[in-house]
Amino acid sequence: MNEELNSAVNETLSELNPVTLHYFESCVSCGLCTPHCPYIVAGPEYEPVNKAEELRKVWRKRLTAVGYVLGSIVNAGYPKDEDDLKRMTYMAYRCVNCGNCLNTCPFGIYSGELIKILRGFLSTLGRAPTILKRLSDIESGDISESGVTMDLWNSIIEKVRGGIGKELSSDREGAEVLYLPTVLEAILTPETIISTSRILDTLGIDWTFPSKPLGFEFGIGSFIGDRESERKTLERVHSYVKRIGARKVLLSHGGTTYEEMRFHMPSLIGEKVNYEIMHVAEYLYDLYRARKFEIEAREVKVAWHDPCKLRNSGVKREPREILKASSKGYRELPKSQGVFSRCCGGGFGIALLSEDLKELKRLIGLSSEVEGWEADFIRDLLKDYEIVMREKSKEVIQSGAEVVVTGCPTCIFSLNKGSELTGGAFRAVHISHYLLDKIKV
Amino acid sequence: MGIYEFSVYNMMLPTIFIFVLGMTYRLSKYLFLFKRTPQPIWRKTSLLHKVLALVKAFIFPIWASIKRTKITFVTGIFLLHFLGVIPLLFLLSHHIAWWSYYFPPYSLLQPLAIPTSATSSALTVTSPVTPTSTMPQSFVNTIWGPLTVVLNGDVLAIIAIIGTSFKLLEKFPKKFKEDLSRIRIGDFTALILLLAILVSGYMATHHLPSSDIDTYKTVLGIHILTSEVLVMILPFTKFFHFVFSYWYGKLHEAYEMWRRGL
Repeated sequence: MNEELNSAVNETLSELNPVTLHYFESCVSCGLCTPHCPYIVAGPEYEPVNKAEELRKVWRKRLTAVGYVLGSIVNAGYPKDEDDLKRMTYMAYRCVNCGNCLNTCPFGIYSGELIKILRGFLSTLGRAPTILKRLSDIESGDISESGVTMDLWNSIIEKVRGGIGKELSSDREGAEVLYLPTVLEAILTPETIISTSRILDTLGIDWTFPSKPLGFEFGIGSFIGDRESERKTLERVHSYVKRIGARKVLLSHGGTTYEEMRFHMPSLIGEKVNYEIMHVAEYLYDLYRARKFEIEAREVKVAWHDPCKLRNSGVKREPREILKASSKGYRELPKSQGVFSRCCGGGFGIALLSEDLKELKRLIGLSSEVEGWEADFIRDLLKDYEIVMREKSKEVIQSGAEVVVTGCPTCIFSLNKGSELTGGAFRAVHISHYLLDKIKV
Repeated sequence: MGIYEFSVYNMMLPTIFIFVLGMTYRLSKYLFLFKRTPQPIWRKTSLLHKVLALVKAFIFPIWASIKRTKITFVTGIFLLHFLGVIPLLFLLSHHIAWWSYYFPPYSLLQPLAIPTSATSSALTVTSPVTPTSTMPQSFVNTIWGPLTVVLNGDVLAIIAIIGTSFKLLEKFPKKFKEDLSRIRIGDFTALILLLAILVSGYMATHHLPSSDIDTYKTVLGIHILTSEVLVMILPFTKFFHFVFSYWYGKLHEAYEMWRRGL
């Protein structure tokens, strides 16, 4: 085994703990997770258990006596050639980390977590998509040093200032609420940042806003299994929050950003947090219940799409209650109830590979063209992403909703793209944007 | 020495020894890897919510399977586990007698014993139960009442054999046609072993293929020996789910649901 491969395997072993050991050892290959994976529509090989098997093969070879001795007879082994690496990369990037596999596994195995570790293994072997690698590197350094990112941030601050009609009080220490938008939102859904800011201002909240960008997604390294990048970013965000001393941190990004900060940050940075981290949907729901504002009901055929990370973090009821108050035309998406939701298909970094995100590529100094193994890989992945988006769109169309409200920029991007692909029957917006003109104080 | 004597008198202690050793090894890995890390702020939920979350962790996969993987639910969960292996292993009258011999408190389950047949078998060889039915056909009197028509060794064994055979056969096209690498040699061997235990148990009960004592002892010996093999390899194979993985996985999932308020 060569040095690089050995080091890649060793790095994955740092992820071993009782829980990942259980995920590795306990699968009986029953396949109950199969139909619940959003990427299963792209091919039967993309069932969660089959994707996780790629990491299990490596760990079986390294960690078990039978795997070490019998090798491929017992499905144990390291990638040997380009075909193996290609297959592994294809498997690793047909996962949105939505958690449906965990919810449906009789043994509580989260295949997505193993797939995240597999992505880390591949990254060490030089198999991370260039754009994700670059984003992770920039984010874990000082993102505000990137001139273009700073320009973008300043333009967002300008728009927020225009939206609220007064000077924005940035980095104000002692503010009760610290609103932390991400660079990705500034690119994909700037209206979300403006709407959220306007709502906070309208409601007279004591809030502040970072004068410099803190991250693309606050943990974008997780998309390529780079724990160190995640840790560095979250440490930086945490020290900023501590400096401001806010009691509440408000996020409008309900994807990876929310889960990373709300649930993964303490263990990653090795420190407890003493401030509350909330998604804007939760925060507004609390204020609505406390009668701080009223919602003007309109006749809109509206549905809520659960961003997978919000749903798996326990934010399900709050946005629904708000939307029900906003319209009698509220309806559920037929295949997205309870713990299940059909994912938009763009999570876990997949949407970031889209050709439509030229602005993002420009921002980080990448050309639109990719070369080598990546060219086929991205072309094929985007085809599969399109299949998943179409499936999601069918569900929305079936519900009859004209507006799909959600809480994550990636979901908004994917849903709108899916709508475009299927005739444009609906549009997706962020909950802050949707509520902006309906909130009455 | 025949296979029966070998399995009963020679293999019992090695089986228990290997099982205990294997379990110690497997469980110690979990203990050694444990490291305390700072916790996020838990969502506040009521005790009732937490109890429901625990129930949900166990129920959701079954519910999801009923909705989306009906064949797997019927064969793998319902026939193989719920109706087959679990009641047979723990409640078949012969098994209760066997468990009680080695672990006397197990005899408390005696009233729940499942007979080998709905019509002809006594609960045990030494304490036959008088049939109470006035029907021309004699029925065994068990606590299960009319359910005994299904809850008897014959029917349950056949159900378990059907479930296991289906799970075994469905793996072939998945492995060789769909080329799913997650289907491993261990999946086949585990199911073949289970099938051997079920079939030999059924044959021993019915004194098949012939009723002479030597054949009976050989078949029963195979049943006991294959069961011992299962117990020995249990800590090292997917059978581990039965004693640990399933429970650990579900409890961890429930714990995560408590933290997140799901």
